[in-house]
Amino acid sequence: MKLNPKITIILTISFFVISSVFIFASLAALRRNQSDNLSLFKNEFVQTNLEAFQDSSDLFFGYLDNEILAGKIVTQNDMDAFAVKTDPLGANVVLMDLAGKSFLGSKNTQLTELLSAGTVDSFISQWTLNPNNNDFAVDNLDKFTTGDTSIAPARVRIKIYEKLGLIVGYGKVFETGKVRVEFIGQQNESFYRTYLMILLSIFLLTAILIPLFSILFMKKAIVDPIKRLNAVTQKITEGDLAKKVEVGSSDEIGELSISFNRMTQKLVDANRTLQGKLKELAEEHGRLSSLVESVKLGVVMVDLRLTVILANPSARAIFGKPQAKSITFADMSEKIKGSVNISQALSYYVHAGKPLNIQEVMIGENYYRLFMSPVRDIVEHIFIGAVVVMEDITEQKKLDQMRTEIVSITSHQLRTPATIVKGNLEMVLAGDVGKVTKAQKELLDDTYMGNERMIHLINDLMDAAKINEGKLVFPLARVQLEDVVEEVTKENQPFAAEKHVKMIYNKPPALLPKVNLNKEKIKQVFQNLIDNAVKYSSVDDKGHVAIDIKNDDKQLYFSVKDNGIGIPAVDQSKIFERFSRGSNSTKLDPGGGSGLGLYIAKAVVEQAGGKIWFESKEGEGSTFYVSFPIS
Amino acid sequence: MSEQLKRILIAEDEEMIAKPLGMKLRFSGFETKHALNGKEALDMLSKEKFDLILLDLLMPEVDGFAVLAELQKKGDSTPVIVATNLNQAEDVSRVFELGCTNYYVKADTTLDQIVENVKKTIR
Repeated sequence: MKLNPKITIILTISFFVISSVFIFASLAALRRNQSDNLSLFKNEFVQTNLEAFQDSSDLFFGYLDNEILAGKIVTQNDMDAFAVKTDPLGANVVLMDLAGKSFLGSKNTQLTELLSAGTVDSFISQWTLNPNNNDFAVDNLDKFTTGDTSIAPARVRIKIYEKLGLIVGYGKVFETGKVRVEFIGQQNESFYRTYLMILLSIFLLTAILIPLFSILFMKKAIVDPIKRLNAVTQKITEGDLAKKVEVGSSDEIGELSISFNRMTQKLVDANRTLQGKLKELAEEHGRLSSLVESVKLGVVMVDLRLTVILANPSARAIFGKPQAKSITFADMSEKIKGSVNISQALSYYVHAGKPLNIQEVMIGENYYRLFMSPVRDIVEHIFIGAVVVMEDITEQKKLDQMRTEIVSITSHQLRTPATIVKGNLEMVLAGDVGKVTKAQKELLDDTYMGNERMIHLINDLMDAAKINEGKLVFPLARVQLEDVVEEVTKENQPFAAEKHVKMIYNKPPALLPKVNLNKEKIKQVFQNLIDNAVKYSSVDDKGHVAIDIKNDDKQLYFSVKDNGIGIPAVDQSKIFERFSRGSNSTKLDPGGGSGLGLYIAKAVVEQAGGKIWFESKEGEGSTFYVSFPIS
Repeated sequence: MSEQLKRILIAEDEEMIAKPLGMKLRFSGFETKHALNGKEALDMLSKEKFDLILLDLLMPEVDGFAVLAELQKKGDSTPVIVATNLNQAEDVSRVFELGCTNYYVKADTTLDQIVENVKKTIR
């Protein structure tokens, strides 16, 4: 049922209408009974009091055979007697003095009041009841008088009082010659009681049932669903989102329940999504936390004011506080020993939002590399601090030192035996210690060359190691490059001749500007380039190597061009890498170079601010270029 | 021999290197003496006069750098040619700062080249 306010109104109105009809019907019934009751009154009254009335000289009135009788009571005794006699009826009778117009008394105070103001001029001898208006016409006034006819007849208004079924009458003279009697209520007791009860019941029903009904209705239709709704809301509030409201009706409350359930479902869905996200976040957070917690790197996060807001266990251990929950920036800055002022650097870089790496600092006994990166707020993208990652490079340092030591050992220890071989062979070959046969010389020459190659390899390895460590640094000086080229060319002529390669150095006609170089090292580079050109030149006696040197305003260019086997395209991109050799090189150089020559050449050239590059085509030859800035 | 031979002190811990070098120098007309380490070399230098010192750098007890420093301290102007297998840039610059005349990496240099340089230095 839909709760319609109209229905409630109609219901209420109906109740009132029914009640009213009932009341009017009752009143009508009452009216109909009035006349019957009047007769009853007359009979009882007269039968009981007739004698007393007749004996009394005082005014009285009453009914007798459709007449109202009046008598006169002149003494108090009469009054008392009358009262006593009328008592069984329970009626109060108005007594009036016909002569003196005085009121003699009544046992009813209300009557007394009413009548004390009135004047009785005469009494009615005979009343005729008009049933329609309850007026009694007084026809014969004489019947009410005891000889004094001078009193003009008056109209007496008589009201019949009802008091729990008792009849009370009073009269009032209001018009000469007429007595009007009004009945307010008179019923026999049972009827009147029933009538009262019915009336009362109806009012009670109206007064109680409607609110009761409304309350019951409201309870069932509104309060109960709301209570259920409330209970479910309570459950939901407590987190039990699976709760649903029973949809009891199809009214607004029902709709509300459906909406509520729908809303709850949405809540459940949203909650599920949220829980999922939260779980993901928690997992992500867990992963990140365990990453930060377990990583061997020290990780410290600082805010813009350089307050430490996070320090993982490794970081705390690095700064000597493995048991502490966190560390302060002061703990950090006082322990970091290095060329950089950590707090200045961090302040600057944090605010500038730039990363900074510090290659090496000492913290306690160990060496660390520091990586500092600015941290942005994920949402607002503003810098909120920095993260400092500390990598323990002590082991690396040790390894580096070991490597340096190995290089040093290589340098000295390997070179020493090579030097012994070299020196002694040189003495023998020079014939200083005795004649050497041709065959002996041949063998000793090869031995000597082999030793030289070994020395060359040792040198290359050492250089490569230095490049690797970033320590390939040579003193630079002003160099006349043509001199170097000329020297190298001259030194390589025998090798070229042996290989039947025609080597031409096109000496520039005028002196070139000097450039800043390390002469020994650049000689080594040219040596290597020319050696390669000759080595990989054409084998059919048509080998040709052209060495050129020239300049423009800014640069000085050296080039070595050959018509040899060239470098296969696949190898070209890697040719300057360590241990890289053209895949076609082995047949011409079976013993093999170290594959370090061009790697070292590049490093040496670049250290002097120059560039090295090449053009090559397999089977056609290669041209290597080196350029240096003219300073 | 009417002319007094030029005296050269070879300070070299490796005898097998010192031997051919000494031979070559003697064949080339020099008188040589051999010290096995820096300490010996300094002792000899304090007792005898040499025209030139061929000095190795890495030697036990007292190394070549210490010898150079000592000579510099004493104001000894005897020319020194360093013949070593050390070739780090810093080592090279250091020995020149300590007053050496010339510098060779032994493995990269022939005996002839050294003798030539010796001759050039003390002619």
